[in-house]
Amino acid sequence: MSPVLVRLRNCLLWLLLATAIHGLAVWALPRVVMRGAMSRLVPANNAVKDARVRVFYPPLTTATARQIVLPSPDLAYALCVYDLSTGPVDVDAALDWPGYWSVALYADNTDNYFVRNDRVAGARPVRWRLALHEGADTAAATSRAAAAAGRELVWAPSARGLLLMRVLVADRHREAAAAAQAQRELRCVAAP
Amino acid sequence: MFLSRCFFGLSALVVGLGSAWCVVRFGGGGTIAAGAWQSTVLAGSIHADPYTRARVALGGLLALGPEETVYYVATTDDAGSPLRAHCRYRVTGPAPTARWWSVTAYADDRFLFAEAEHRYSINNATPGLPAGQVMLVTGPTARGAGPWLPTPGDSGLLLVLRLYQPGPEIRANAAALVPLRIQAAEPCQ
Repeated sequence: MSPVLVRLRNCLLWLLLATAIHGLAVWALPRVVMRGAMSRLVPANNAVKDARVRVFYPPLTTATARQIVLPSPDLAYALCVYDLSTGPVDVDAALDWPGYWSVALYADNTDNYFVRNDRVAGARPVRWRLALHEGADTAAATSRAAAAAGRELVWAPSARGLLLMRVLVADRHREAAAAAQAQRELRCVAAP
Repeated sequence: MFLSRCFFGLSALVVGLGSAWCVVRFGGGGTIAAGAWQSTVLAGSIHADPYTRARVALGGLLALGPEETVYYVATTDDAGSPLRAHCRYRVTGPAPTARWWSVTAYADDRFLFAEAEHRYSINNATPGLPAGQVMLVTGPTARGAGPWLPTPGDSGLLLVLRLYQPGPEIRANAAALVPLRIQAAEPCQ
């Protein structure tokens, strides 16, 4: 092969390699950030510690909250970090809250893949079974088990993920105690 | 030969990682502007492209999708000057069409200012707002009439406008927001 062709081939290989590294970095960044957040957000003394789920009820956001950028001071949060690789997780939230609330699910790539708010929920409590879709046979059995337990089945796109409940606190000075009580309405446990 | 291969691999690594960082950190793809306010249209959405996902992971992790919430960030005033915490700004305009709106002040590290009274945001439940209007003043100390959003210190300043359950026009097109004006309330260096 002539030296010119060798040089051209090397240039193309270099360009391909740099492009692949660029694409891999952009793809990996949200996953790395999300993994870090899931480890950081739930402290070791969280309310429920299980192989599949960890639950945390943080206090109302103040200037000392520095785990996640742009925290909203108007919301009380409750969160579950889950891992569905060994089985489904059951989620319950029965809120009697006069204003906005929502329960949102995030995949390991940061996508908000499911959300339910107070207006959509109406008077019905959140009763979900989170599961991974692992083939038609297993999925059918999981669907039957969820229906038998009276739970709405939510398929998660990734084994690891995060659930975030937001409760709007219009007046943090007057509503702090009620918001803390509302946070505790969220429960996440390994499904039987 | 060995050194040449090392240079080949290392230079591709540096260029690949560096270009990814630059595009994610400084690229403006997927964002729209309404006055001084910018919004990443597909923040939190399952339809987001990889660059938007990476940008949101760095700048606004755990965002809700646009059906639920639309977020706007301002880092400059209407004249294009970077916002500074020690300066005083007047933020005015019609109240956005949404079930709930709030304007929150953050330091340039994207965290809340340390403020003893926990006055971190002005929202549609804040007393003293004229009906259907947003009217607030930011600055290190309270001065004049109207709700005050404290911004102590000398850092840069970000204002974040959150619209929970926005109206259908904004849900369909975040640029449809009638932008809140951000004007320097007094000369500031």
